[in-house]
Amino acid sequence: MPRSALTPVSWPSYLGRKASLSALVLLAGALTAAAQTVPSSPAAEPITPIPAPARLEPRPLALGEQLFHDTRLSHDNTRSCGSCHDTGTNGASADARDRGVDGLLLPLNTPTVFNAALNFRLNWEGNLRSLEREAEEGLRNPATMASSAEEVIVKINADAVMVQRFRDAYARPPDVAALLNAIATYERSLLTPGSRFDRWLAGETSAISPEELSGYLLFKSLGCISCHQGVNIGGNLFQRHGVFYTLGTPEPERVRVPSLRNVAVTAPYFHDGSAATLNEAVRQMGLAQLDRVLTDQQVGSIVAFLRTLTGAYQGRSVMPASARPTVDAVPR
Amino acid sequence: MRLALAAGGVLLLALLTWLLLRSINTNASAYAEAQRAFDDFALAEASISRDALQARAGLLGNYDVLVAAEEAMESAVSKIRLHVEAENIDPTPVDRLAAAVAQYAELTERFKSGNSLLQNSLSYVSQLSTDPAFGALSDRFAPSATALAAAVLRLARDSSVESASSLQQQINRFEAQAPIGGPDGEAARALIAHALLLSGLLPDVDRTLRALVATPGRLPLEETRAILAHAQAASELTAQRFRLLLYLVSLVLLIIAVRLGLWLRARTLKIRRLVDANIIGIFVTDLEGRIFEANDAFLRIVGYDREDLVSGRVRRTGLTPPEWRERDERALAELRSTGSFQPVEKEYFRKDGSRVPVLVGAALFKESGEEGVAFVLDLTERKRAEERLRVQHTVAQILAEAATIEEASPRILRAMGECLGWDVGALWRVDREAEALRCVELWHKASIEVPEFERVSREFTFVPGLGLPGRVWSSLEPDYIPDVVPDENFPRGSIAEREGLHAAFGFPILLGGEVLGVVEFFSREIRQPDQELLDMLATIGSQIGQFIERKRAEEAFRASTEALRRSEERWRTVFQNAPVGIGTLNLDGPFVTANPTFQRMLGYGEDELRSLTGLDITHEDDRAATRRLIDEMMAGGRQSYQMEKRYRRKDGQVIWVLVNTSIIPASGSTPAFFAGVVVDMEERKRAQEERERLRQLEADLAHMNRVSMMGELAASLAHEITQPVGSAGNNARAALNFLDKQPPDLGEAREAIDSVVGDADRAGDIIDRIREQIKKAPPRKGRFALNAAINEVIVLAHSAIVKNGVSVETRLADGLLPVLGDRVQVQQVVLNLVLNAVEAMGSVEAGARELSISTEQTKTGGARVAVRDSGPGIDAEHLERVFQAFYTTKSSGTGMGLSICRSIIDAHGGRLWAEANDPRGAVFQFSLPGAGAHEFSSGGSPS
Repeated sequence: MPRSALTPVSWPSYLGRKASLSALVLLAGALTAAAQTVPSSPAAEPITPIPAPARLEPRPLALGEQLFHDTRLSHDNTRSCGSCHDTGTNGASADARDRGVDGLLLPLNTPTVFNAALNFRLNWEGNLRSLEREAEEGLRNPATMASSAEEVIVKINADAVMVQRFRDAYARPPDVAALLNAIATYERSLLTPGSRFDRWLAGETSAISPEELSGYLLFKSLGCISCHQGVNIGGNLFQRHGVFYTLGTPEPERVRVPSLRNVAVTAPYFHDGSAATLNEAVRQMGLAQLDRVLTDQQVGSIVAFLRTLTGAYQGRSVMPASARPTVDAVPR
Repeated sequence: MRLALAAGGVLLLALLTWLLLRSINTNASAYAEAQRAFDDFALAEASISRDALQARAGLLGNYDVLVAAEEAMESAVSKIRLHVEAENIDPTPVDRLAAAVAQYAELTERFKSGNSLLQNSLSYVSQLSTDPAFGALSDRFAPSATALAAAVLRLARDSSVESASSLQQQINRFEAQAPIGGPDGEAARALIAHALLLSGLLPDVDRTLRALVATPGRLPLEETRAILAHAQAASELTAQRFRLLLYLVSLVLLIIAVRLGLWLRARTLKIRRLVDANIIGIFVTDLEGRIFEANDAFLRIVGYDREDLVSGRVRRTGLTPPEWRERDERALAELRSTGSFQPVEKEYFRKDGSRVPVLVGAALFKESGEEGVAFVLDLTERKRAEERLRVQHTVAQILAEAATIEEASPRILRAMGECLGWDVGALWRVDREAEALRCVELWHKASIEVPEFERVSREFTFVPGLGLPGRVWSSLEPDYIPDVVPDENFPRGSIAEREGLHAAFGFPILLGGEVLGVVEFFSREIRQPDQELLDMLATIGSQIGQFIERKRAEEAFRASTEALRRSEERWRTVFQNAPVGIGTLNLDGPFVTANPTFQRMLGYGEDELRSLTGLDITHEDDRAATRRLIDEMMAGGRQSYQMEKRYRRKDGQVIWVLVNTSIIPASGSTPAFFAGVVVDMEERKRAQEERERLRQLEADLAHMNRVSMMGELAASLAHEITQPVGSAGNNARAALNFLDKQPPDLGEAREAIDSVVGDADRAGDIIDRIREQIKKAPPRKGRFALNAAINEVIVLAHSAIVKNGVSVETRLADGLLPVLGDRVQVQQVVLNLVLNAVEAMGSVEAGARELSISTEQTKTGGARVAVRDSGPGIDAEHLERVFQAFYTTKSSGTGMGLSICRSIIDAHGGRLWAEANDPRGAVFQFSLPGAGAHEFSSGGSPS
């Protein structure tokens, strides 16, 4: 079959029938036609590099970091945010599903906190829109912290040093808004710029190898890019999973598309953590979402591309959580 | 009134502010903000439509822009909601707008999810055509696969029901022919799966897209915008109304302000007139002490000019003397806390350094709080008047209390100095004898020292016209010198300058036209003359003068009374104890008083005498003479008489008296009377006779002694006379012989006769001496040469000396001053001593017989004569006894010789004494006073 058969070229009829819609489509198409013919140019890619972190207030930031690692945030003072979101490694844990305060496994895999600020919705379900709400919900959730922002404030008010830190940061005694804002501020700082792919996007053509580049091209041509795009390579739309074949547990039916940033070091994968390796995940994704049986070579090529997405936090490359034991070291 | 005005002003301002705020239409900016939100919303809406179309066309692979547009819409809506809530507008359209946004969100999500799958499947279909597996199948499946792809593409272009059903037919057809199992079967199955997916998805996505592009938010947006615009228009109308009101109120306020301004201007003019009238000093100052403005009156008070003020030389702190600083601080504190302070009396320094008493009050300007206005009243006149009254009063009081001017003067000086504020004061009194002013009192303030000025003032005297005291003395007027240092007629000027004295005034202490003294005062400051002060000083001067006069009169009275009393007492003493009789008698006869001596003299008591007259006690034979003299006195012919007459005592005995009687003229209440002084001549005569007799006796004794000595010397004296007489005979004979010569030798004869004359004179001399010694003549005083007199004595004693084998040595001092006395008596003493010595040595067998006679001058100008012998000497215990009468160691002699010698020397005021001679013998010495050194007493007795 000639290639022309797939090209929508019956312009007059198209225009005639759907003038307003088609005209816009056509115009956009014409404008981007040149770009499409050179697919490897970084300039007009559907992925954009992680911007430099915004300048954040240093005192709330420092306070947020301290709170993030403060076990008093949990009802029984056993765990902190950092207990599951190990910012020393990959911002998550190595387990497929972490255990809650009640000792039971949580229903879903813990997503990394790195670059969470770049997602348009939070959590697998995408039910929360802001980091503050997320933190509040995390504290309240009986499975995670089993506490509440109010309870935490009571505890913190008993600590003169912390009270003073709140006063320094917010010029007022500790309150819920300040508590949540501090944590969210800290989380906004948890970006991992500087990945090799971002450098390639910025014009450094030697930042990725030809194999990795061809992996990216494959990633695009297979259609992965249609969901995994934008600054966070995902994280900006909802999608149902298991379009063609089942992928993990059925619930939740629809997920916020996860970001592929640092995907090489945030195993295991999927909402239920069912894919232990990246290759496995790519293979499963190809089949379930694209109805493609990818060859090992194709999988290898895509994984090679995905490995270029690992960035650095505070100048240190994000590393797999298994690389070091999850120790909750709270600076007190 | 002021409170009401202030409240009214505040109210009016509040009203204006309120009107202004209402008229501004404060929601205009909020409205603009909302308008921007509307624009943002519209932009986001357009952006979503565009981006969705692009994404649908496969030209946009990045959904971040859709997310951003949706968030922009949400943000815009929340802004609009805020505005709507703030403006209190019906929120229903905003709710609709929010619902539209929710719809957008939902549509966008649906579109993103759907479009992703759509793009995947389209990509799969398009890839299928190039897939090698697909190519392998092409022979059998190509037609149906192509038809399927075409149906997919048709649906992709046109998601109408027909296209969908056409795709479904093609799927069914392809499925019917599709191989089962094997790679081909798998590929076919995948193709069918994708086509099926697309057949459901494409219409759905396009529906979603259509809904999105239909801009569901436009209507509620426009609705909201319209409502907001309406509300805005309404509030703008309100604002306009308020602007009009504002204008009207402002107009009213302007009128009020103008009227207030006019009123204030009138008031200010009044105040300005007060300032410019220069009735009181006014200045504007700050708490730091700077003075910004001042009127002429103030400048006049402190002696500065406007230039000083402008240049900032006039400072409050500089004006205030140190002792007022503390008081000033208190006033400032009061000023700070209350905004004003009660007027206080204090002093300011004038520019020339002098002081001016002032009353100062001040108030802060409320608006600044740091600046204020001060009112200054010159109290100089009042202070001066007070001072003067006080000074006059004090001086009067001091004068009233003081007993003497010496006691009063230091207090007056101090009181005047302190009250009038002068530093040094001096009182000068006229010294009548020296015709000069002498400083008798000097006061200075305790706080200052003017040692040199004080010393010089006390030492110096001023003659009329010299210096300040002299000028006042001659002019009889108070005088004022603003500064004594440059004054030409001020001798103490340089000292005053050294000790810092400048202004001075002086005033006379006057009595009638006579200056009794001068008071002067000095100040350390330069002061200008003050006529009133001078007038007052004149008053004080005459006050003091009167005081002095009063005291003088009192003193004179007291002194005369005392003198009288003393004189009476003295007189009484004299009267009672006089060795002469004193009595007074009335002119008509009887005695009034008679002193004890008089009573004793006559044997009458005083009472008895009161019944007797002078004539009654006078001897009968003397009465006539006495009466004659009394009559003469009574007739005024004489004031007194003196006569030697006899009284008859009470016992009938007659006594000789010397009477001195005077008539004492009447004085005051005392009538004229006789006073008589009576000397008892009986006793006087007796004593005189006795003294005469003793003197005669002594003279007789001395003469007897001389005669006796001459008798003793008779033999040797005869020899002394015989020798020249014999010599004269021989020489006479020789002369005769020379005359007998032929020719007579006249020369030789003359020579011989000359010798005869000498011999005769010598013999004559000796005889004269002897005669002198033997002659009984009263002693007489005269000046004579002692050495010559002694030589004559030696001549007389020569033969006696030689006869006893005694060698004589005379050591008579050269140039001995003449002595005063009786020459014969002194020679008698020397002769006595020589003869005693010769006789004493004559009794001694062994040893040389040496007699030494020496004279020497004494330090007092007299002479001392010593006669030494080498005789047996005198026992030490007898040295004094030898001078007693009738004491003698000689076999022959009266024992009176040395006693008489001592009497003679004593009568000459000299001394005669005996000592042991060294190595043996005795020495008798006597001294005589030099001529004129001692009055020679003619009496013989040593009294």
